[in-house]
Amino acid sequence: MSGESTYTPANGFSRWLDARLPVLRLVNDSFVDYPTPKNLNYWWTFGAILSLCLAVQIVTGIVLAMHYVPTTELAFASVEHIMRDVNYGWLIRYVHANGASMFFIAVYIHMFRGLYYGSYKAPREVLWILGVLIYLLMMATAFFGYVLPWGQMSFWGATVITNLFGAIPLVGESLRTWLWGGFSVGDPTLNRFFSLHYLFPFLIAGVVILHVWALHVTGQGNPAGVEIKDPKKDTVPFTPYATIKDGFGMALFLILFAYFVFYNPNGLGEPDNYIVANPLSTPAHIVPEWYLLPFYAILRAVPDKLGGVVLMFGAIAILFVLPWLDTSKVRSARFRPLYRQFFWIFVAVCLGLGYCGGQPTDKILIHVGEGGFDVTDLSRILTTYYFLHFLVLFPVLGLVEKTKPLPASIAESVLPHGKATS
Amino acid sequence: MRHRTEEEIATANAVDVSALPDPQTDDQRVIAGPSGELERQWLVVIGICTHLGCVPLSYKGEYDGYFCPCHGSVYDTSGRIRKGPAPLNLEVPPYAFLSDTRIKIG
Ligand code: HEM
Ligand code: FES
Repeated sequence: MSGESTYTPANGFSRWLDARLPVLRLVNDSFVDYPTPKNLNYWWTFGAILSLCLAVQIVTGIVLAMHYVPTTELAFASVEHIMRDVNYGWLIRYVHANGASMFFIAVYIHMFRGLYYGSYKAPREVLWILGVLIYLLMMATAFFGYVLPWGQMSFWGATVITNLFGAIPLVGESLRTWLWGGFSVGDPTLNRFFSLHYLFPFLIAGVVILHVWALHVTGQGNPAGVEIKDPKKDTVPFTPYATIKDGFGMALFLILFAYFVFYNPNGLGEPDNYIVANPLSTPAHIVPEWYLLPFYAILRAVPDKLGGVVLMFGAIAILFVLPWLDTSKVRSARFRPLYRQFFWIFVAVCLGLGYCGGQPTDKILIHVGEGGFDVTDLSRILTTYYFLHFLVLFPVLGLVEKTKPLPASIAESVLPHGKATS
Repeated sequence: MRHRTEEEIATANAVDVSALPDPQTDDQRVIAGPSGELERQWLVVIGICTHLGCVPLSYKGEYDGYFCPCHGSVYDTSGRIRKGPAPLNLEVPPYAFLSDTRIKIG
């Protein structure tokens, strides 16, 4: 919480600086003395993990950009050059490419954490909205980045996504031509995507600063979902408690990261992206990167061009209004027996959509006579459920659910009964 | 461009046009040659899916016409959209027969 500052400059220099630019005070109040709820669990370490991911992407990206050439002639070759000739180029590229996936793993866990513990509810709506904005920027950044190596998936991914804008009535076609800088995805497109790919991470960094600022105004939420009452009993200072815990979470996360980089560097990618882009031949099975698959499934579930595009963007847009769709006064799913079950169903639905997005649409899952129940049918059911979860379940559950009694305070929720007052 | 067999032309003509998402008869999608007769054996279409612009695969899909691998649009032997998210038939570009063996596209 943004209380009074507890910073006391320790020496002459910091006193001098504090009177001119109180940056050390800011750091102290945000990351050292900052009161942290004492009941945070490991799901709360993903914010720090995400900051690490952003830093890793920026550092490796800047080095890649020193060797990469954004023209259709040389892009693919320059990436191969990075892989073969540049010292440790393979490492830098594999860290960057897998780093994007790790970033999304972390952001999904972070977001589902928010859904489970009701972190988006008042007074944290703006904090949540800034988060959704970061997520959107991340998807755009990853999309631009994926186009850069100019493989088959790069090219066809870029073609399909830019054509989505062509579905907009009236202005669609002109907009698409403007995005392309021509009449199809080509040199001007690649060049501007590189420019934007370089820019967006810094926009993300800017929004992250706002996100953390909003966090420090409202204070962190916590698994019990009750606000801090008495900072002395309910909180611990950020340093050393949260710093160590976050550091440990990061270390575990880096083990997973290292597994992918060193033992399975192409496991999350598509082999077709190692074939140079060919505008005359679409690969037989095109799929986006795994983190976009659920949205891809929604796009394909709708038998109408504009409708598919609208639902796909709607699936993200709906997150912006979530704080106002949820009518429950209780934040944490711990005390919401019904919501807790629907939460897990929702997780399963998202995973199911991800599965559908990776399969051919006409793949039959359950055979019935000649035809059967195929991937398209499953995607339609799951897409419908996805929207019902937000539009019906969230408003209704809050009204009908009988919630469990909340703990009187954070301290009470973590200490054995009777000790809370000591 | 596709050289169609009698059978492919026949199946293209056998469909109920009014039930198509983008109704067009097969004859509306071919043109007359130097003899003045419709050159039904030659189908000329632009190989760009009308959904989001991938290149459909020939001789694939339920109707043995075209199948788009991107989001599963299925076109028939006349290049008409039959199934999937694409809204329109494959586009027929302006073209003309210069002789029995030469055509000019564009
Ligand atoms: C939010 C942070 C970022 C994300 C999610 C991201 C994502 C990606 C992805 C998915 C790729 C394609 C990897 C591949 O398959 O090869 C890529 C490539 C690339 N990125 Fe980033 N990136 C980020 C930040 C940056 C920054 C800050 C820079 C430069 C300043 C940068 C420069 C590059 C370059 C030059 C490539 C092409 C080389 C390659 O394909 O490995 N990226 N990025
Ligand atoms: S681009 Fe052909 S079905 Fe989407």
